[in-house]
Amino acid sequence: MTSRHVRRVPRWVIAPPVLALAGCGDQEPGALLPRGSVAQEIGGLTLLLVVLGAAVFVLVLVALGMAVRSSPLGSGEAVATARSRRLVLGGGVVLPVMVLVPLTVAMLVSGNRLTHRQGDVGLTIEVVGHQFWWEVRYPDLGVVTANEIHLPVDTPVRLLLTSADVIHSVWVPQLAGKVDMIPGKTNELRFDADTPGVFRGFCAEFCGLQHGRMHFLVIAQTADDFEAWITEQAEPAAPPADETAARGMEIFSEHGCAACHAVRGTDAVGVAGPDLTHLASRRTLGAGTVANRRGNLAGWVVDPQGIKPGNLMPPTPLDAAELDLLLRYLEGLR
Amino acid sequence: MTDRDTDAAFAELERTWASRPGLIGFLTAVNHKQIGLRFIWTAVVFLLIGGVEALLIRLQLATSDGTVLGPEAYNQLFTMHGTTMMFLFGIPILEGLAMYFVPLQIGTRDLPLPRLNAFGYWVYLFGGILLHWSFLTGDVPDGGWFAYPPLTSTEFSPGAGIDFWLLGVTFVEISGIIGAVEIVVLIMRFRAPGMTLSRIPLFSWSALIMSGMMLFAFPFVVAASVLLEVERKFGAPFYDPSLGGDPLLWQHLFWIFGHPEVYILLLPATGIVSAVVAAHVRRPVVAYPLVVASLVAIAIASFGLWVHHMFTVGLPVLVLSLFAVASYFIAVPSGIQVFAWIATIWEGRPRWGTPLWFVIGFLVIFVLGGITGVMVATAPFDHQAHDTFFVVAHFHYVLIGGVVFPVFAGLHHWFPKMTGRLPSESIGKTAFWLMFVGFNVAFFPQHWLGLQGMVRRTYTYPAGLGWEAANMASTVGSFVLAAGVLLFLANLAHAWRRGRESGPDPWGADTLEWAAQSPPNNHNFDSLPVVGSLSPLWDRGAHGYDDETLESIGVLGRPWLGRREVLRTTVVAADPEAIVVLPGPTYWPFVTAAALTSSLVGVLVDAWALAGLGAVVAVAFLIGWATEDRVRLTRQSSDPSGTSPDFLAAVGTDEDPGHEVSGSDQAPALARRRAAEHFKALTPRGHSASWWGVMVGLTALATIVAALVYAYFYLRLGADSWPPSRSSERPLGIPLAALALVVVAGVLSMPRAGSGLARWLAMGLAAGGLTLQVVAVVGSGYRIDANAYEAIVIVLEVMAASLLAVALLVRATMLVEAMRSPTDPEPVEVDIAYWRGALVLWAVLWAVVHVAPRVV
Repeated sequence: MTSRHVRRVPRWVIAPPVLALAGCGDQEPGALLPRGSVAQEIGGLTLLLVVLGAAVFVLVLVALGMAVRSSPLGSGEAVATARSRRLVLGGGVVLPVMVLVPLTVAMLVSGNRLTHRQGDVGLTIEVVGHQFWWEVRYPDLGVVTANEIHLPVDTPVRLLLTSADVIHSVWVPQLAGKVDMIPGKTNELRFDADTPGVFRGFCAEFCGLQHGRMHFLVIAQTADDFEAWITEQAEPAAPPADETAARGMEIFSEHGCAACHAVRGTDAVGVAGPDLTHLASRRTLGAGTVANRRGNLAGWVVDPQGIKPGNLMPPTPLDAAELDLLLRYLEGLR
Repeated sequence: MTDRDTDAAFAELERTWASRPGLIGFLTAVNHKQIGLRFIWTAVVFLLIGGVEALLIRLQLATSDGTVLGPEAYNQLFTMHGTTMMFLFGIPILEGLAMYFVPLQIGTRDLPLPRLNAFGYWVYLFGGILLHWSFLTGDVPDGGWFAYPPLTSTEFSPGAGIDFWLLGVTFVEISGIIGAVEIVVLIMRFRAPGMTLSRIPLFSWSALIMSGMMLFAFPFVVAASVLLEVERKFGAPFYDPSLGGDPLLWQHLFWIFGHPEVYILLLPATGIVSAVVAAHVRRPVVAYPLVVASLVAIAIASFGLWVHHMFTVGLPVLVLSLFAVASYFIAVPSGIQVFAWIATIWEGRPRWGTPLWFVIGFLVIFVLGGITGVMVATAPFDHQAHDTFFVVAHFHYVLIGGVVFPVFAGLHHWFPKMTGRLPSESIGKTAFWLMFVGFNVAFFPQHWLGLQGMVRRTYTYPAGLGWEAANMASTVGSFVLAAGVLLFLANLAHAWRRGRESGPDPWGADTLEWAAQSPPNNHNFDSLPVVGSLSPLWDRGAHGYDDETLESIGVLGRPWLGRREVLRTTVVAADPEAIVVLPGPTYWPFVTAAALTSSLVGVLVDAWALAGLGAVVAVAFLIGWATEDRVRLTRQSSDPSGTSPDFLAAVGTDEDPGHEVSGSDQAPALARRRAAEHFKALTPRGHSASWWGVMVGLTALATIVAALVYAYFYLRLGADSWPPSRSSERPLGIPLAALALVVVAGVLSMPRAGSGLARWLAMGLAAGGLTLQVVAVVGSGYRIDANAYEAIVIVLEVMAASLLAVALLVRATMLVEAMRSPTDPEPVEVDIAYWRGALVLWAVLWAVVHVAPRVV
């Protein structure tokens, strides 16, 4: 964490008291720890809203407390009426106007800055929502992947968002607000990341059975790292390294995996499921459901419905030897 | 009149207004207190069901990777929880309270269209049962309470769950519209003499405004649901972008309903707060005109805010800012109300009973909910908070704090009136503290969870995100809240049998319901009161009322020929206008609702013969219903003018100047004198309750038409060409001929009453127009699944044809009725009113279908 972030968004001010209660670490994916200019802009607005809101709440509570403790004796009807009028007009009209007028200005300024900031675009990425995973394409760079969005830090990024089926919504709390993915429509989300890191993203619009397990990762990298990643990803799949992996590749096609999955550089060109060309380089399986380790991969291939019931991948019946060969092949797709 | 005469008169009144005993009585009752109470307890049952669903949800989320529920069950439960709480608990319990207490508060004996009221209950009950029937078939709705397509289309939700949801919700919404018609007519036309607009109790005001809003809001979700059901059953692509539809159309239609819906719940709840505050701090709510103006302002503004539920769908920044600032505006009228209650407490002498505690709890929670409301209205912040647990926390602060707490305050406050018994105060306060603490522990941490990334409707979350403690706290809190709710209800249940007797007015309250017995007798008031103040029960001594009973100076104190008589008064001044005879117990509402339900079940299971049969039987029953009334009411009467002889005498006693106490405020005396003058010269004038019912109902119908026309132009604006292909162009000849026939039919009905012959002739012409319209539609070769254009045109044509067909049925029925009772103006009035409305709407739809594609 650089000192700039601490200054811009002091966490101890924004976070409600429950923050302590939940034992926060640096891993939490929240909007309260912004790692990009858009999220920071909104974070500043959040701070203003929380402070103003808390002030209004305290004022109302004080008024209520005084009302509860007040004694009705000792003042005539005329005094009571005048006091009531002051209270109603002061609390009901003056107070909201005093709060809402500056808030309107702050909102418009903030909205304007957010729009203005989005002038230039360093990188365009297309993201297509699927039940229940994310297709990620770098149209200018010839890269297709899934459930992971890599981007260079300090570069304005534009996501072009649409959906292949129902409505989804892209949200990476630490980087930006959310934007819906609507079939038949292309929305834009612009943001940047100012720190290298891994940020968890979520599907925010209820999209069916596995809405709860439709996460993704945004991986912000230094320019060099990103360049290296792109170069690697733009390559077609590496040919099987050895005999066992080659046998695994045959099993891949024999069992119909290619009907849904593409492995660039081979005969597998399916589009229903994630592109697997560089599967082994990804960190998770099943859109953030489990870590991409051999055991999980084996489980996912044989019984995907056990891990994430309702996803569209059917189980692949394999004996232990076949599974081992297939895993060898998949693990080679770096 | 001697005491014995009076007692005999009251006994006869009681008999006149009695429901029938036993099961027959249950099925035929129309009395507003019975129906209102049924709405209330049925809603409480649904509250418990929705509460159990909520607890299961919280159990699943208590830990990371929870295993209490699978994703399927979780999605079903949060869908049913939201649906149940919004549609089956919130609206019905508020309508039930309004149906029970508004007639008492405004000094009348029943709702003006009692059978329609009973019908509304059966429709609500059957709709609610239908929705929950899905648990037995296994096809439980799982599309969320806002049911966004395309997730809810047949492609992505092939089961019957969404159909259960759409049909059940539509049915319940229709019940809501019926109740709204009822309450609007009641408050506009049936207030006690002298209850001018500025003397309507705030709860009754809020019920009037709630009902008015329902007339304009509910039709939008009915229209949206019908379009989606037509899409699901017949493949019409209203929401399918590949054939010219747009999934965002649903969101617009839904939130044009959905945002006002929040205020439809909130406004009557604030009305309850006003009633409770006044009674329990023993002072009228300050700034009454400002409070009423605030209610009206919120009601109007709430229709212009729906887009703030759609801040993330990709609309232009300017649009977002406009809707955000408009949403801010709501804070002003809300603030006025909050500070009016605070000022009232300040200046009053509070009695710290359970109802007032619930009001304090309401103020604390609701103000916080309002503040987070301003936060989520701030578009850039909403981009973070939208669809997360922050929003879940926000709307539970608004809906539990803003609606459930006031409703509970009201239930405790009015319980003695409904049962004659007082609930325990100590248990009531314990329940309050459990609810207040439990609520905040359950929902406050959710603000933080939302900003941390926890999206709503997620059935699980992985370990390692740091969310476990806050979620566990939330779950524990929800169980404490539930314990408080159960304790509160147990307190009422216990008091129902064992509570201390309350007498008519245990709180020393200000409004007229406390002048009736507890529980009120069948006819509410032995004679109808005359009102001269906003707080009639407090001002009776000072303002010249009889000290003992308010009723003794009232009117309609003696029954006549066993007829259920109430007084119709003018809209603004509440001057007496006519005596209205209301219908008594009847089977028609029950059997009609049953027939409609069977029709709905037919649609649900694709048994189209059953659907058609149910609809036809329902129409036949409606005709029976419409004719029953007239037969019974007019044949009993030898005097067609409908003025009972005793009622002049009743008013006459009031002319005794000895009753008048000197005082600065002469308003009540003046009101009574004016009432007396009116009675003396009273010949029935103005329109019948049925006419008002038709007019208010037409408002809702016109709103459905408006929603469909909105859908048409929304689709048109999203289309590149309109119609999308040349094959969709239609010749204008036959439609023009149909238009000409219908216009002539309308012109023939222009004279006020219209001669019988002219109306028969107009019927023939309109029937010809309808035939031509059907010929033209069939001849167009349009297919409902071809594209969005043809689909929406077919829907508009069907809507227009249905309006016209119903107009023909109404006219035929009413013309026959008019021949059977020629002196009764009601059949003619009803016929003319609906006829004109239907023909105008038909012409509007004609213009949209035939003119719009040629000019825009």
